[in-house]
Amino acid sequence: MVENFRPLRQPPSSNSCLPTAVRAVLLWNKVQASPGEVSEWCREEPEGCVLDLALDGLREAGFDIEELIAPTEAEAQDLLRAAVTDEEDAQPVIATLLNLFLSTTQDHAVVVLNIRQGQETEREVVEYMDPLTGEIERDSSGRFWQYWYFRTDARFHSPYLNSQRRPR
Amino acid sequence: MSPAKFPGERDGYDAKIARCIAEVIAAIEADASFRVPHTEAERQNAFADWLAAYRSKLAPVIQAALQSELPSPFERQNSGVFQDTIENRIWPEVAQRLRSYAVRYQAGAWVRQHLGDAVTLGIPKIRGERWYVPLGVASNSAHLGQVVLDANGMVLSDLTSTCEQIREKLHGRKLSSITTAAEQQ
Repeated sequence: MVENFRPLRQPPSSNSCLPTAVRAVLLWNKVQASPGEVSEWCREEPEGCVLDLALDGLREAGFDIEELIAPTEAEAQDLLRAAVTDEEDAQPVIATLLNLFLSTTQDHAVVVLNIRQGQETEREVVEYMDPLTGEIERDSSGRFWQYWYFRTDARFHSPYLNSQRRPR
Repeated sequence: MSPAKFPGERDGYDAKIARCIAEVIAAIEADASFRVPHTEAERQNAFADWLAAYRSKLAPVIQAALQSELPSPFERQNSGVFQDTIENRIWPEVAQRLRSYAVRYQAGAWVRQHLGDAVTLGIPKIRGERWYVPLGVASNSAHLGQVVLDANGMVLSDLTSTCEQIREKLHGRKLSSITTAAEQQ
């Protein structure tokens, strides 16, 4: 699991979940960056961030972005599990969620920190930092996987990313 | 002897059917294992294969909902009426709701790639063979555009709002409530 991760909360009334998630990952990687800098790198606009543009902006700012791509949900889950539970080098992963059942809905970026078996039940628990609450949330209902947006189409990039600063 | 009444003529029958449909949709939304179609094959022919799979999965739920709403011996024993009600009244509504989830997911994928993650998706509506998904921006209820999709969930770019059109509406309205982290510095 990812340890010593400091949760961050997005500014109230903002749509800055992705920049906030990115900044939290950068801080975990010991990269100091202000919210304004990260917002700029993510090319944040009043309409929010376009993930592909945000990735481009972060790469231009000197960060390595590893995109985890898989053709099926099961394989994508395995990649995500492997990334956050690696015993020697667990890494936080930014994931995109969308709740299709709300009357009005939008994407929401979170940072996945651990996936483990529940102690009291056999259900899997997904632990993630939610920029909306600024807390580490835990889901054992399976809703995380239902809301999780993964891409199977090769034209798209993967929605979850792992940002590390490239040595300059 | 009063003339025989058929289900469609009974008082409150439509309300019972509506409750059945609502119960089935509630069951779908309560099911964390529910998934929209992720492959093009599942989306072909207006999501036919994907819907067929869910029809089988939901059959016991629909049956139970209908039995609880139509408890009389006549209604329960008349399997023809029972099946006809499922086929012609309940399943079409449930199938349309399922399609709308699938369409919304497709619209969301398009918005994610072209517009931005503050853009909100409303409830898809079908007109003819096309689906229309209203777009807005968080913190603002105004209708700012739409994504238009065909019956297989493919986005029809020519009919879909562009980023420029949405921005024009946004900035025209001077939405001071929408700020970015950079602006909050």
